[in-house]
Amino acid sequence: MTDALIPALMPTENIFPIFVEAMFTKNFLLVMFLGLCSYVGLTTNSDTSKGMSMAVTFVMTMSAILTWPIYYYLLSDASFLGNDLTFLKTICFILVIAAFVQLVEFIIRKFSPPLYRSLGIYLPLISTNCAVLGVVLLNIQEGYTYGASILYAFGAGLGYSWVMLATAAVREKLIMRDVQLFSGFIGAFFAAMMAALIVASYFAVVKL
Amino acid sequence: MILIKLTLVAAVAAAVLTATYGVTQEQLDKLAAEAGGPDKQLLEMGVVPDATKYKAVSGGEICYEAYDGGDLIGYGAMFEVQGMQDMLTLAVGVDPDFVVTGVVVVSQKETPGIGSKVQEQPEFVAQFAGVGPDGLTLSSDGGEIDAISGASVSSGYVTAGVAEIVGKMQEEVS
Amino acid sequence: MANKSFVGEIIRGIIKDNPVFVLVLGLCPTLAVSTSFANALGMALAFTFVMLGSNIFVSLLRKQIPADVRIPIFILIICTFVTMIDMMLEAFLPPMYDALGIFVPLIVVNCIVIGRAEAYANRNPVLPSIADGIGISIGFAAALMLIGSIREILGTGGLKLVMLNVVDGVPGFYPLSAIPGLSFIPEVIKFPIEPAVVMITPPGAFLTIATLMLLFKIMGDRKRVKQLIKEGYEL
Repeated sequence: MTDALIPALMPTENIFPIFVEAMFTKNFLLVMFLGLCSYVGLTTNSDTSKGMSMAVTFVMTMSAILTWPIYYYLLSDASFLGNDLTFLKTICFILVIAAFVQLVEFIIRKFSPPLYRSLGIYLPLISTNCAVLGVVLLNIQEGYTYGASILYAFGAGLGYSWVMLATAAVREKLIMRDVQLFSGFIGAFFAAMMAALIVASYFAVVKL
Repeated sequence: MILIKLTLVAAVAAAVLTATYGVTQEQLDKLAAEAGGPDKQLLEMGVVPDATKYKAVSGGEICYEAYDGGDLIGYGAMFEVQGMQDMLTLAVGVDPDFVVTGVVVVSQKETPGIGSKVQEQPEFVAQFAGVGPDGLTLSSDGGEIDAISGASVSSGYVTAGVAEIVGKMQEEVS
Repeated sequence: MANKSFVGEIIRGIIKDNPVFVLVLGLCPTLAVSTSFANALGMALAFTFVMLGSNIFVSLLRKQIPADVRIPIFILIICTFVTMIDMMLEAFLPPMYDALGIFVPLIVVNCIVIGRAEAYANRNPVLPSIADGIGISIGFAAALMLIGSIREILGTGGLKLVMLNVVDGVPGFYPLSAIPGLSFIPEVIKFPIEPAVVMITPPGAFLTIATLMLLFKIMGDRKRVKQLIKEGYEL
């Protein structure tokens, strides 16, 4: 299961397909089913989904930057410790992500209140967002190089964002129509129903 | 005090996990030993039907020589190739002229119920037997392999994978 | 909480606080691994293990856990159980490990588990916490297996009922017919419908859960209306 080798830092093959895959053909929300709680919960309002999308993309990219070296230089048996500690990867990654998110929240609250209002309030939601943990675990599972893993994370973040924003645009419109049906709990039903339709047409386009 | 408690919890967690790791690793080693190396697995799957023994090709990475007693009757290889969703593991056997004798889809993660038919329908992989290196494309592309209806994409990946493995074996043998 | 019975707590977790249909939590694994009954059962078992372990230990340690760092400690506890079940699946049930893939480690960030730790186990003694864990787990398992069965039946036209069992010393998921006395149950129960492959694919997942959520909502509404009428309200 563990590779004794550390993959090269910079990708050797063409990494553009990885980016497209993360953003479209293996879209986190629509195809991989990661990060759905925030998808159903936060797409009622386009401002909220904008803030959440930015925060997720940022944290995903940063987590990829942080966790890759930790895995290969600290946990894998090719590290200087020489022991195979890869079974601790989930626990390490989640702690790193949680600590990082906490730190960023603290910093922007202190130094940039406007940024905190648009992005910061979504940060605590993110350490328990499975899309973020998913992206770093997939990076390891696929054995991506450092460069490729960062690009994959960024692409996954953008893929998450466009689906969030597209859905929010439609849902907001529906709520504005003042149709009682589309708010509250039943709104979740329509979100899921709509997602089904979006995914169905999406599949027809990318021909999966 | 908070730090001490955090460290304590983390330490206990690490200890418990290390203990579990020991137990499960033992079981994994046992499983790996039971499955044997690729040569033993190739023999069990019978990709070269009459082979009784496989021996690694010297200098090769994936290719194994298949012997019936003392006679070299073909080659076998097991390798991961690209599938639609994820990697596919295929085992391929060929005769000395690199005409396919057998193909087994060892593992796949294609769409359940659609792409997974490449593993569930033995008729599909049975078509490969007797096909030379030049015929290893789908019939829609002029080859000799008929795609499973409704699962043409996965069928295409399996066919391309078989061709890739046969190509690799030719390279390693020569 | 003292006057609530153990069984009552379990039932509340299954129906009133059903994590999937009512609380709309834990959607990712629910949709991703519910392609078949067998996968749903595997996920449900892994989830139950983590849910119970987390609830028990959070509840045991609740007086020791400093409020400021409670979330990291919950995550540590949950993660320990997740990694344990992940490693055990890999070693003892390799086919299930392959089928569930990344969704086992992702139980760590499952909002249901953290949610119960925070909202229940951290405030209640061990016994009710166990009851809560059992109830929520059954609720989650029921939802998952219901969705899994529906998608498998509509998508493939058959249903493979399996159970966790040990045959010839090898643990695994075997058809129900492997259990002595149940051999009359066919391995695959066939349904006279044309399989609609779309149900197995992601759109099918959303369709199924949307329909089920609507049903739950309608049932809940009817109950509330009846309650109101009983209390003397006029509609």
